[in-house]
Amino acid sequence: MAYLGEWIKHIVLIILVATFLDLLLPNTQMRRYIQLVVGLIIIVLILSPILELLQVDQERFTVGIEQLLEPDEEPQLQFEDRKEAVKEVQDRAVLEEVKRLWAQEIKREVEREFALNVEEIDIDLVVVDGQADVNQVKLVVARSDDGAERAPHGEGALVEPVVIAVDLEKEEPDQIDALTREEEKWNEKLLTYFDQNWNISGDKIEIFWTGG
Amino acid sequence: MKYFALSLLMILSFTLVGLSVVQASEPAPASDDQSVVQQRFLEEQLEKLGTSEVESFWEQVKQEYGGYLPENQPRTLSDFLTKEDSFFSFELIKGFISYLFHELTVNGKLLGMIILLTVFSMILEQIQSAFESNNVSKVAYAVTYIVIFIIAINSFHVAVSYAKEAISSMVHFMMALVPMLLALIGATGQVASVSLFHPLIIFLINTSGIMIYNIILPLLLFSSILGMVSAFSDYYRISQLANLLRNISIGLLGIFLTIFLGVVSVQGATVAVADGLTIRAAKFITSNFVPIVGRMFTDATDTVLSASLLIKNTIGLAGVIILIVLAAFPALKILTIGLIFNISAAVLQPLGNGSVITCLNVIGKNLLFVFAALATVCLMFFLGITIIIAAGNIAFMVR
Repeated sequence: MAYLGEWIKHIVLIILVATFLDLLLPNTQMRRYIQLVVGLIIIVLILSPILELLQVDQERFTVGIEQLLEPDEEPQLQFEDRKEAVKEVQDRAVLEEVKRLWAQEIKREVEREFALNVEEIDIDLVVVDGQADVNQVKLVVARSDDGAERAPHGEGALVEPVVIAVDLEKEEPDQIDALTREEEKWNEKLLTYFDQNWNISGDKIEIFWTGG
Repeated sequence: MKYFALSLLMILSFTLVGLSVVQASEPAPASDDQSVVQQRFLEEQLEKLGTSEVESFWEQVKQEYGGYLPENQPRTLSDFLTKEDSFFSFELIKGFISYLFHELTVNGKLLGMIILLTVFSMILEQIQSAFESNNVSKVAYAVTYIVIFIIAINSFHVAVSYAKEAISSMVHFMMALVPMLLALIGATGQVASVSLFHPLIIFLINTSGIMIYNIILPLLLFSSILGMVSAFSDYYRISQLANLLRNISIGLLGIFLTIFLGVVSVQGATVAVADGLTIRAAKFITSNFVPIVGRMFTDATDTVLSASLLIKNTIGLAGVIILIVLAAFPALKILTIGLIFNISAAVLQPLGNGSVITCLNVIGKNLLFVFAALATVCLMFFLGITIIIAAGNIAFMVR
C-alpha cells in the first residue's frame, strides 16, 4: 500500500503542477505541444507500476501480499482452559443434579415401602477414572405411624408405637433398648432394601434416627 | 449507491432471520426445581467463562453512546440472561435516528462552509470580466477549489478513521467473544465444530479486518483523491483511474464477503450434523448402578447441557447486540458526512460549476462506499456469530 500511495502522490503532484503550468503559459502555439508532452509524462507515470508488474518477481510479489495480510501479532485464542473450566462446572453440576434426582427417588421409594419418614438424605458420589460410584449415603429417618394419618416430617416421629410395650417390662433402659432394637430391625430392612433395589452395599450406608 | 442499498437490505433481512434463529433456539425453561439448579449453574458457568473482556466492550458502548440507547439496557452480561423483553425495540431505532440528527446538526458547520466557499468561488468567476486577464480569475478559482478539496479530504479522512476504529473494535470484540462461544460448544462435546470453527473463524475474522484496513479503505481514499484532482484540471483527467481503484476495492469486498459466507455457512451446517451424531452423552460410566440411576445420569446431563446451550445462545445474542451497536454509531456518523456532501452537491449544482460539484459528488459517493465496507464487516461478523450458535443448536436437534 505504501508503494501505491507513493504512486498516487506522484500522479496528483504532477497533475497539480501541470495545471498551474497551464495557467502560467502564454496562449501560444507552443502551449498545445507542452500539454501533449505533460500528458505523455502522466501516462508514463500511471503506467510505471503496471510495467513493473510485468517484470516483477512473482515469488516476491506473493510474499509481499502475505506480509500485507499477516497480522501484526499472531492472535491467540486461549479457550482450551476455559473449556476445561466449563466442563468441570458441568460435571459437578451433573453430579449435583443426579444427587438431587436420586435423593428424591429414594425418599419417595423408602416412604412408600416402609413406615418411615426420610428427613434428610445425602448421597456422596465420587468419580474414579470416569466411573461414578457411591461413596456414602447418609440417611436421617424417623418412624412414622403408618396407620395414623401421615404427619409431615418430625411430628409423626413423636408418636412411638413402642411405648405400649414398655409397661410389661422395666421402665427406662428397656425403652431405649426396645427403641434400638426396633431401629436395628429397621436398619436391617433398609440395608437389604438398598442392597437389592439400588445395589448399594450396607457398609456405605449410615442411618441416623431422629424423633426417638 | 446500488451496493449500498443492497448491503443495507441484506443487513436488515439477515438481522431479522438471524435473531429469530437465535431466539427460537433457546430451550424452553425447565420445571421449578430444575430452574433453581440451572440458575445457580448458569451463574457459575458465566463466572468460569471469564466474561470481563466482552463486558468491557459493553461498558465502552454504554459510556460512549449511552444517551442514545434504550433506558432498560442490560447492565451486565448476566442481565441478558434474565431479561425478558428484547433489547431490539422501537426505542433502539429511535436512538439511532436521534443520533443521526445529532450528527447532522454537528456537521451542519461543514455543510455551511462548503456552500459558502462554493458560492464565493462562483461569484469570483462571474466577475472575472472585471479583470484584464482571464488567468487571474482562474488562479483565484483554483485556490478556492484547493480549499474545498482540503476540507473534503479532511472529512473523508475523519470518516475513514471512524470506520477503521469501528472495524478494529469489532475485530477485537470478536476475538473476545468467539473463544467464549467455542469453549461452550466444546464443553457440550461438539469437537468437530470447534476444531473446524476455531481456525476458520479466526483466519476469516483476522483477514477481513486486515484486508479492509490495509487494502479497501486506502484504495477508496486514493480513488477519491484522484477523482478530485481529476475534476480540478480541465485538460488532464484521470477519473477513469479513480473509478478503476474504486471498482477494485468494491470487488475485493464483494469477493471476500462471498467467500466468508459460503465457507462458514456450508461448513457450519455439515459439521454440526456430523457433530450431532457424536455429541457428548452421559460422561460417567455408570455400569455398577441400577438402570434407573443410569437414566438419572442421562437426565442430569441433558439438563446441564441444555443450560450450557442456553448460556451459549444468550452470550451469542448479547454479542450480536453489542456488535451491532459497535458498528451502528460510527456507520451513522459516516453516513451523515456522506449525506452532507451529497446534499451540498445537489444544492450547488444550479450554480453551474462543474468541477466543484464533481468533487463533492466523488467524496459523497466514496463515503457511502466506506459505509458499505463497515456494514459488510458488521454483516460478516454477525453472520459468523449466528452460524456458530446455530451450528451448536443444530447438533442438539440432530441428536
